[in-house]
Amino acid sequence: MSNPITSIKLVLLGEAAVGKSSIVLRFVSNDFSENKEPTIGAAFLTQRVNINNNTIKFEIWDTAGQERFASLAPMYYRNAQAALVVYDITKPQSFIKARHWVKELHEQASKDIIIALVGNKVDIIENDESERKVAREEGERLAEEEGLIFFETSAKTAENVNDVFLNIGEKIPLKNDNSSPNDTTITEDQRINLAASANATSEASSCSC
Amino acid sequence: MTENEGTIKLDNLLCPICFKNFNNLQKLNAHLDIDHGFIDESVGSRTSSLPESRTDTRLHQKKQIKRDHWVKYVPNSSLCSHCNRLLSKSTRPLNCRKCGNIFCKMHCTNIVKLNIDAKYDPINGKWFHCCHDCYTSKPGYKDFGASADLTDDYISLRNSRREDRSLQKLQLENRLVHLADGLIRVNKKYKGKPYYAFKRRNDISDLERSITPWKEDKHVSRCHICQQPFGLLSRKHHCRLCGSIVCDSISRRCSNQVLLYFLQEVTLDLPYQEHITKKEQMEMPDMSVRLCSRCVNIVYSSRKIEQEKKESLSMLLSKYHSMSTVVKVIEGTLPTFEELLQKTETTKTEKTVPNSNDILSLAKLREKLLRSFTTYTVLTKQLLVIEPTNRTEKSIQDSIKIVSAEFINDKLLPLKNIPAVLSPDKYAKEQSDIPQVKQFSEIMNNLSVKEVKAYREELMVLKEQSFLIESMVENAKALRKFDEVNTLSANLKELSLRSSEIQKLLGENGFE
Repeated sequence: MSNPITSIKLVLLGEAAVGKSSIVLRFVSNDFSENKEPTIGAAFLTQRVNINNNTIKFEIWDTAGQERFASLAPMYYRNAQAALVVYDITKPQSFIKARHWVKELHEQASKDIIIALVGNKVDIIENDESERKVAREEGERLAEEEGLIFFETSAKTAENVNDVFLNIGEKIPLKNDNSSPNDTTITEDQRINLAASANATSEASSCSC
Repeated sequence: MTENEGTIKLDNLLCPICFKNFNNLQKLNAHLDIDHGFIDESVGSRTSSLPESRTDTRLHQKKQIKRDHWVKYVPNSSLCSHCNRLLSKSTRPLNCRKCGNIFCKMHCTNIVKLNIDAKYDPINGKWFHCCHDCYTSKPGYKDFGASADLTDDYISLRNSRREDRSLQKLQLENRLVHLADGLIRVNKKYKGKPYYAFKRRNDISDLERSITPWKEDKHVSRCHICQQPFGLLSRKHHCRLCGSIVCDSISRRCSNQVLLYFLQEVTLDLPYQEHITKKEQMEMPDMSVRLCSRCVNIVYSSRKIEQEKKESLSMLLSKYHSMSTVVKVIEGTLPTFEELLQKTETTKTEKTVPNSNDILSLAKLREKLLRSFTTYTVLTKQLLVIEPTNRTEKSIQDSIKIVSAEFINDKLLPLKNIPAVLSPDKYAKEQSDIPQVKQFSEIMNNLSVKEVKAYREELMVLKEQSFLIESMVENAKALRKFDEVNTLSANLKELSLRSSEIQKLLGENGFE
């Protein structure tokens, strides 16, 4: 009763092939696949996390990085509470794109959106530091300027992946019992919410058939 | 055939199949029957018991083929070496003259040429019965007859024909040059002397006859080209280049009076010494040469066609050419498009998610087709604007107009179906159908081409995403994750809202 479920709408942005889907896959199913197919449109995944006795449900929209799907992105970041802007530390171009995304988010997204800047593929530079093309300081500086959370991660070795999400979860203002119940918030005592689910099914069935 | 045997003596008879030489018809016949299997039942008995062999055996009666290797026939115990049948007098036991084994008559029917030592001798040997094995093992035996390569003969024949033709052409051209030069000179000579008309006529006639020997009238009763008999109405005329006698039929065009000016104009590459101007030709319309249709073809028409080929196409034709290339593109793309459409539709009815790659390529193909159609209509419009120079062009223009209208009607139909596949619900489909129909009408659009393109792309992406989300909803339902269903269907609503928004934008303005 004291720990309500808060759901966070989170959107992943970034250039194609920086590892957005891989990060999500690591976070949701703790898995990694070497040759991932490019995402089409936007994929939807959920994951529950316990932070300080609060259960947080992440509703993750993993958008496609390819340019032709760029028009979809606004639909997903418009009412998102959190955004992960991902770049590839071995590709300078992806960092430039990340800057653009941060700028666009500040202009278009909701004011109190929490943005995390993530430099992915740290595993590549583990053995050979010369592979790194975007300095850690560069990322840190951008994060500081824009007030972002900054992490360098590796979806392959799972380094820092969960930390990013936990950090976001900590920063999200928790819904209290006192606050008016929202559509997206389901409290523990409303566990037996058959009505809600029945409602959902009827709604869905009327739509698709 | 029997007549030939007695009367005609041919020295050199070639087998038409293997090109062996034979000195008479009978031998050739026997060879054909035996070696190439032309035996038929009715004449079989005659060919196998050739009278020729009878005479030959009489000649060589003393030199009989050796028999010491023959297997002896023993009544009631000898068996056919092929079929193991007990041999008796009624089955006519026979020794193979080659190997000497004993056979029944049925299995010793082949004939080979052997010498008296029972060795194969295709040249000097005589025909003898042998078994199948000896027959097939003779040197040079082929199951399917012999083959001969005649390519070189053919090539040489063809080359000689071609040489003949080019020589003939050269000859005709030389004659033409002489004739034209002579005619012009004669004309110059008698210019302004109307009283010498008869003499001029005579000179011309002499000149013409000096160019080529004319065929004698009395030997010819039919036109050289159309083979129609001459008479009172169809008179004889001589071709001035080849000298043959032809008729003057207008319908068959066996011969024609060709004006010298036009002749020279077309055959400018020939070494004329004198030239006739257009003005001179107008003054003297009788300065012409009678040519038969063959000579016209050889000297005149081939050049004329070459020249016309070099001339650039008229506006109308060039437009039509580009139109037909567009048509080719459309006709090449449509089948693949329809196939893909079918595929996507079936997956849709089976409630599975269509392959996203399929949808992508479908959209691409459709865009390509639409673009081609637009170019097609633009070209048609441009073509119809061209002012026709004569009646033929006018009629060509009209028929192109009809054909292009029909073409668009025919081919545009399948394109209308596509939004049904891509749209998530009926509402969107109805919406999108309207701009489809409108797109070729002449609507001035407020959106620029670039904007329209961008909107259309966005629409495509939106519809794709709707598809994906729909399948996700199904999945979530199956896994009973109803909270996800809520979120997803909310997103689906958002998507369809946006897509209908864009469709409204496009629908009012039409596609490009």
